[in-house]
Amino acid sequence: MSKTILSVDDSASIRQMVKFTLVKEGYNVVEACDGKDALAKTAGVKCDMVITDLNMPNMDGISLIKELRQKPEFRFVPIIMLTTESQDSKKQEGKSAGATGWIVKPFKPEQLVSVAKKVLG
Amino acid sequence: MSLDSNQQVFINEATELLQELEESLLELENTPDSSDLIARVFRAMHTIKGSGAMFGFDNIASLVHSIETAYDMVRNNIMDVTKPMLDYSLKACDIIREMLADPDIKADSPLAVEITDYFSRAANIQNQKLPDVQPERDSTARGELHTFRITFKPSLNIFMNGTNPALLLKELREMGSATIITHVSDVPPIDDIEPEKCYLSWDIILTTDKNENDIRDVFIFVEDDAVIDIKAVDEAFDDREKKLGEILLERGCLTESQLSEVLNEKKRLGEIMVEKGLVSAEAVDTALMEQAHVKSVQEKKAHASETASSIRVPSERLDSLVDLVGELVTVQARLSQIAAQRNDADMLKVAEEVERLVWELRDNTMSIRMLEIGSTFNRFKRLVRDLSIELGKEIELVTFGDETEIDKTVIEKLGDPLVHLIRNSIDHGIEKPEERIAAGKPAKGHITLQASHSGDSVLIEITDDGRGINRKAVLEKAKSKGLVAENAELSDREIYELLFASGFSTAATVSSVSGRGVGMDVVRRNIEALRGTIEINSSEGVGTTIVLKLPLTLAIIDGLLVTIGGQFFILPLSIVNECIEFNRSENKSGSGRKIIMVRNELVPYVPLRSFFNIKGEEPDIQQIVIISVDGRRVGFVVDSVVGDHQTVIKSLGKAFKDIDCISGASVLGDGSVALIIDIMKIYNDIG
Amino acid sequence: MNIETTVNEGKTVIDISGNLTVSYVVELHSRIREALRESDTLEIRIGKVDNADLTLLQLLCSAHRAAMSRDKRFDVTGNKNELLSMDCFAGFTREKGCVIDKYNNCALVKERSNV
Repeated sequence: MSKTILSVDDSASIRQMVKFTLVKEGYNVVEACDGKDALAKTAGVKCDMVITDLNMPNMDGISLIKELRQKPEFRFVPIIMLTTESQDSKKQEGKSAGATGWIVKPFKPEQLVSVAKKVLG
Repeated sequence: MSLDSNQQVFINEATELLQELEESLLELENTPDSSDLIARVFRAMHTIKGSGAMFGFDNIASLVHSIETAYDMVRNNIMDVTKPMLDYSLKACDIIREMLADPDIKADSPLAVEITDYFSRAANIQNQKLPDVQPERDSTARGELHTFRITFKPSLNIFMNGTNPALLLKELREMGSATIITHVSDVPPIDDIEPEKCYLSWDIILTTDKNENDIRDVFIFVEDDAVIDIKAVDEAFDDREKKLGEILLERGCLTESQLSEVLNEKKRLGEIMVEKGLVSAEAVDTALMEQAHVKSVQEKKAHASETASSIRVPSERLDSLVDLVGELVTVQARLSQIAAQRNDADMLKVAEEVERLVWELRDNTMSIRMLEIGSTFNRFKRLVRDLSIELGKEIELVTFGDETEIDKTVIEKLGDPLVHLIRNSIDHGIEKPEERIAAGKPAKGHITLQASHSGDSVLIEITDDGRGINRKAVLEKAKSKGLVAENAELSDREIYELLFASGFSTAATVSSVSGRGVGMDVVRRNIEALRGTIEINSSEGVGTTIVLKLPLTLAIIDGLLVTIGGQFFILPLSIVNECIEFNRSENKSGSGRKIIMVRNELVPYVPLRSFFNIKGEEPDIQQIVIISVDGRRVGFVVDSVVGDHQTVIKSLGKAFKDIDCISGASVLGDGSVALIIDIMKIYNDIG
Repeated sequence: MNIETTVNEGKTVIDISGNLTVSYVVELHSRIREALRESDTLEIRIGKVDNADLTLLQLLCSAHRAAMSRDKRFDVTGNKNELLSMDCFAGFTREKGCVIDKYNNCALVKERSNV
């Protein structure tokens, strides 16, 4: 059974790139455009991994990570945040919120795949 | 630059964002304190920058970078929004639009530079540059093989943030050849453990062509809260093997003076150190594994430099090696027995060590004799081709599990039975092409040969997609030959059993291929001589499958040691079901039929004492060993059951070759001889 | 995860199968803990494994340690070798048990196949 990855980003172009790259690797990708949307879309859906941007309208990435870690079905799910180089403090904040790891933007599709393999197997 | 679809999506997205951004900026001019608006501006800049860099608009990304920083400071109340700031922001929107349309506009165009300068000054940043690719933190060069010692002790809470440490180890393993040692000494007992925490730590010895940074990258997400230590252990990778003491010294488990003190004693280094409490047993184990790892890497290196990768030896030498190992197993059993009798702790320790070594030696020796079955399978391709042409049939032979290994002796003796079974499939099984088409099957028939391991056995399946076995015809033929009573009602299994009856041949005419009097009975005898079993499954019109189950090796079996009249006998443990006490007096049923009730099931039994004509008085309480074959249970009555026994099979020699029901002998620990009972033979005889 | 506990004459058998991962390990822990309090003999029978992770092996090791120190019998049976052969446990299995493994039934040692 192919694993499901939730991709959360307000940028449509990043979402498209993430989806295109991961689907090619055989993963199933669900998209959401911000934290609120992500919470709505994960209700009742089994997710094996989450990739989320940090800066998003409505609900940002850090809050999303905190919310997800509250849910029993997301306690141990790997969550990867997308950060930019200017956000070193964000990286720490994200980690203490419960993020598994991060990818620094800009990144290449291969980096995305190797991180997915690293945390998801 | 040609645009790919991602870039096109980005251009559309950025255009929308710019639109929004302009609106927000204009509003911000009126309400410069609105945190909501500031956040919106920042986010738009952030997205344009991040996505721009992703999709090759580096000019846009570097332009927006300083603007984003400025707005981040505004957002964090470090700086206020000013009129010139808004002016430059709006100018930036214009130039970004131009850049989207014409990627040739560089970030160093005059207007862009002016904007960047302004925001850099405003935000007081010293010409920060976007990092391109992550910088290399290099120390060791890639390409050459290096061995690293990696210590990895994750934080207790590593599972809590979704990290699976096993995947990190997997990543390391994929980098080269790795020896991984898991330390469990910190795992608390059941009442104290918090099962969602991680108490494990690892030592990994890795030989790889990657460098230290590549290894460090594996742990990138956990390096802040885990103890990770990576050391190259082979600076020069000298050809000398490292001594255990040196390894422990290097690892900081031990000091120089402690080492030299220990070295003055004449015992094994590791044992002394543990005894003295200098290092833990686990630390020694780990160091020993490192030693073994480095050694194997060196061996591999040496191996690769040699031209020949294998040597040929006459098989007699292998046979004599197996014989010697067999005797060693016997002697070792004796040693263990004596040690147990004396109850001497030192001796027991030695006996245990010897036992472990002998096991290893035995497994190693046996594996030398293992051959892949593929070469045998290949012989049959020709056979199938020739025979199918002769009989005017179209047949393809398909083989699976060619790499399955099985003892050389077993393979040698397997050839004839397999030839016979395949001939049967070609001759009786697969129909002529016209017959197949009429039955709605493809004209070409298939015979599949499949080998696989199953526990300590090898399964070989011969499957054809032919007409299957006509049970009615078989039954009638058996009746006409007087093999079964005229009015007998038989189950499918019992009907298939008839095929193994001697002199049974169903083909209407005798062809040169099969049905020459050498029937399935011979096949079965051959397979049972190998201590194997044979089973038939068939479905009329669909095909037939014959399953052979064979032991991996013939030289040693697990046996159950029993006594009858003071003599030792061995039954093969693999088919033994259970042993129960047998009180003869309560089973003297009037009919004299030898049947016992075991948990509401009637089980026939054979008193081995009378079967072998062993003189002497039966004990009052005997044991009954119940075996199960093909789902049927039969009991064998013996005087007493001693226990399990590693049985090295010795043949009885030519003089005794006609003895029925005894398949060999074995020498026990005390030097006495036990006869190995051929249970299958007795079972079939009493049928 | 499916967990089924059967108690019979002082012996407890816990059958487990399915998803043997960290998400369910708390439940398994409490069952094992209880069993080691109530019985002198505990057998964990591994059924069909869909998924497993290190928390399971760690828990089995912990149970084994507790059993040793209380002089109780603890065995892992069923698809043990299959479980230990899973890709994710590479390097976890041991050749022999640790120092306290007095009955040679360490949960992390594969059963020897009889040749």
